[in-house]
Amino acid sequence: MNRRLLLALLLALTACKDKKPAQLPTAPALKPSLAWIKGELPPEVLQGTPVSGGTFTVRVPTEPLGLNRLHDQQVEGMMARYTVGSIYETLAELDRQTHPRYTLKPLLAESWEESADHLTFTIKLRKGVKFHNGEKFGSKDVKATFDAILLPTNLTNSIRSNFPELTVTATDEYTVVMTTKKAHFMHRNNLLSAVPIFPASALKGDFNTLPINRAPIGTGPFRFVSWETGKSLTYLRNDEYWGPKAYVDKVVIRFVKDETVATQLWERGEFDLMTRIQPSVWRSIEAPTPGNAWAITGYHRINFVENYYSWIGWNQERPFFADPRVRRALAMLYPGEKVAKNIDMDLELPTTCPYYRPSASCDPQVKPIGYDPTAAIALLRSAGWEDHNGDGVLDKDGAPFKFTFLANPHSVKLSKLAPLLQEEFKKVGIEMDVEKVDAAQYVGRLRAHSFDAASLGWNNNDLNTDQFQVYHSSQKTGGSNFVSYDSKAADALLEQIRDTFDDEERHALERKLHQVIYEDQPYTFLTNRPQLDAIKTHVRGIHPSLAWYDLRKVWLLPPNATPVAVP
Amino acid sequence: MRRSRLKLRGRLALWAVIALVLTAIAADLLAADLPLAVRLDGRTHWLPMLTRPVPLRGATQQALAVRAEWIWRTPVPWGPNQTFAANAAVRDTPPPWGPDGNHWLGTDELGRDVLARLIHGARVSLTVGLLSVALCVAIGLLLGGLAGYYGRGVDAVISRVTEIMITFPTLFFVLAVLGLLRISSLFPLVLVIGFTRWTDIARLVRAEVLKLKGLDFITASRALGLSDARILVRHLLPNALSPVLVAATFAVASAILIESALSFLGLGAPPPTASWGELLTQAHRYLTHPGAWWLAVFPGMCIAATVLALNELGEALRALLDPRA
Repeated sequence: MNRRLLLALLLALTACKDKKPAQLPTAPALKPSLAWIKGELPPEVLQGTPVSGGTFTVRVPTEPLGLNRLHDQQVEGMMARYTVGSIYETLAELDRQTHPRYTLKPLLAESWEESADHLTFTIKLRKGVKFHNGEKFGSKDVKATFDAILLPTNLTNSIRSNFPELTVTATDEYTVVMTTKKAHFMHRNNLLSAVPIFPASALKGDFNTLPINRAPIGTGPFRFVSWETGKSLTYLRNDEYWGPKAYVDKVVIRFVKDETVATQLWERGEFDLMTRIQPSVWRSIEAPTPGNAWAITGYHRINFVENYYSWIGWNQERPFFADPRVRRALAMLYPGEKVAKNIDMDLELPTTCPYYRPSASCDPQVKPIGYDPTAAIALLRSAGWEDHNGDGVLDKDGAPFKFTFLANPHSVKLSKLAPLLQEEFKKVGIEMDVEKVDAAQYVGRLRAHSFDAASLGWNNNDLNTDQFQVYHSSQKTGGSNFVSYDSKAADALLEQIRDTFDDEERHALERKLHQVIYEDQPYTFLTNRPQLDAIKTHVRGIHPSLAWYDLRKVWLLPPNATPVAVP
Repeated sequence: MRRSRLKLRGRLALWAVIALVLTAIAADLLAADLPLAVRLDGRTHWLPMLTRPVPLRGATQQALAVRAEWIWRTPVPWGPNQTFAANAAVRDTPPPWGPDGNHWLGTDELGRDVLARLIHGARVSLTVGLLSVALCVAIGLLLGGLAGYYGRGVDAVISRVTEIMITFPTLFFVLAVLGLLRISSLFPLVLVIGFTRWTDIARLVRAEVLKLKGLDFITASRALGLSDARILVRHLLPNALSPVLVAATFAVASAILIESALSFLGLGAPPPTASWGELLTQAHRYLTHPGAWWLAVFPGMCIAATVLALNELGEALRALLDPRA
């Protein structure tokens, strides 16, 4: 018996020995190129003759509550990116090729005219366009969409606030006239490129339970097929599309919230487009090791600065933060270099400005407040904050400098930033507690001004931004001035900016506003966040922009195709 | 033979638990940013990590070692909240850094010493475990005692409430309650665990009291005219304590696991408090790219060893106290 076993073992070993080793593919050079490290796409991505076919799979980190872009509870930054332009279309779109100016180019509108007083827009609509349900697109749909937005009982406050006193009239089947009572430099972009048009028939009924909230109908190059809750959305190419047809047959948007799981699925090659890569992951795959070969040889990386800035807001209703000297001192205690190196991995760009970084609205002369604890202590002392009783905590009029920082427990960056801030503040005698609040309650607490300090970011998919809602003193209630910033100089500038249509003149005012706001420090300005994405090397037609990627242009290189030679 | 083996394992478990309790109590003396004693500028500071004298504010053991006349360091010369502790400036990559001569068990994502955080994390785990179980025992003794002693309507009401509480899945219930509360300390966690985990103890006490109240010594107490409260508190409950002690030991282990799970989900102790579950959260973020095995292995081992020790201790106590075991 034992001999038999031995024989069997020997045979097995011999069999293993005789077996030829599997033919390993020749290992490609692992060292990533400089462009790959920087996150710049190689030129071949925009070259070659497009071919149709294939499925394009995208990872997104959040699942929206619904797909109705107009509904307050369904407005979610990422959702707009993959629905508007692919399922729904707007009257005009931002021309992605004109970065960083982003001019408008016609989409569902053939042309438009703006009156000299900027109050009336006459829009000629495109003919021969059909919705995915077969209905003809026309002025009735534009009017029905705007009527739904303007109806006060509908939950459309966030988009309605862009259109005070707007009236929309359909003068004929393909002409719409929109009139407002007060001119505003953002009206053109808001009317033409921010409102996706729905079919009038789909807007009948209770706005909260419209079928299009779950199964959208638009005019776009892709039509909605299914939504598997918790998993994915599926679109198919719209073969009836009025313009040049999309190339890929199918788009799958996969919801993967957990960053670790997303990274593992990405490594397994399950996404053609991986979005929101964590800085630590982005950096760790740069090392030229066999363990990183899947990323270095299988993907192109994209590092594109979004119109986004993050901040720590100091609630100026609290006695600690009412004094601008204190807010300035806190900015001096922010360990910018440590955060940049160890948390942001030198990927985020420190900023002082609420506007888009490459725009002319930021004043390059504004000098960032550097990390300087000694100066901070002096400034706090000048504001009356000293450790009078020797307990290690600063105090003023008997009140200790203790406050609570509101943190969202799901934010990876905040989970690292909060202990660092606590440590820095403690060194000078300021005690900061951290209160963790779930994401769902977080913004509610900010709106209710029920916090001492908090951190968030403002994002915009357009180049132009009206800062009125965030910084004007009238926006403390109902608006987004959560920190109760109140400055007469800023208010005057914000009002003036809204009425200024000449770009140069307006940018000059915006630069002045940048100076005023940075001087007052209602926020400690942190960074501009880059969009850290990656596409499989067989993906073509991808071009990063503020308006995200144009899915109409995406095509996939067939498996056996010879890549286009790069000059 | 079996009993003696059990006894030995129980003794080992007891020593492990005692060691853990001592670690938690002496955490500040084992791992701190300031030394046990230091002589600086002609003045000796004893236990400065506890007294926090003004001249040593913001100092570290490493910086003091250069300036001081003499220094008596803590075994682990890092505080649990000391970020980017050793050689941050000369390291090429951002943390987490693997185990080395400076940080024996590595650092977390903010460069904080893992060993120092484990030592201080023991305090959180034990505080939550012991306090919540003390609360469980108090509620369980009260309700179980009342139900068993008075029987009838009182028993029916308390038993139904207990059964309703049992039907709640503990972790989800705790998550829901914590979602409603505003957490800024460990105490909500202790209260929530305490108020949800008392049912086992209440049922045990009820059964014991039911068994005991028919015995002669209780009848004698009644005949002597003692009040119900006195009979319950002085005679019944002390005799029902043995099974409670066993159940409480298991409950501490279970509370520690719940605390770790909640910290893992980001709902545990607020930052910068060190806790084992919080280290595991970080480990989850560093599973593959970049990998940091030490963030998962060491806190995982601590949780597993503690729970194992407590369970062994419970088994040994059961064997000791219950002649039928």
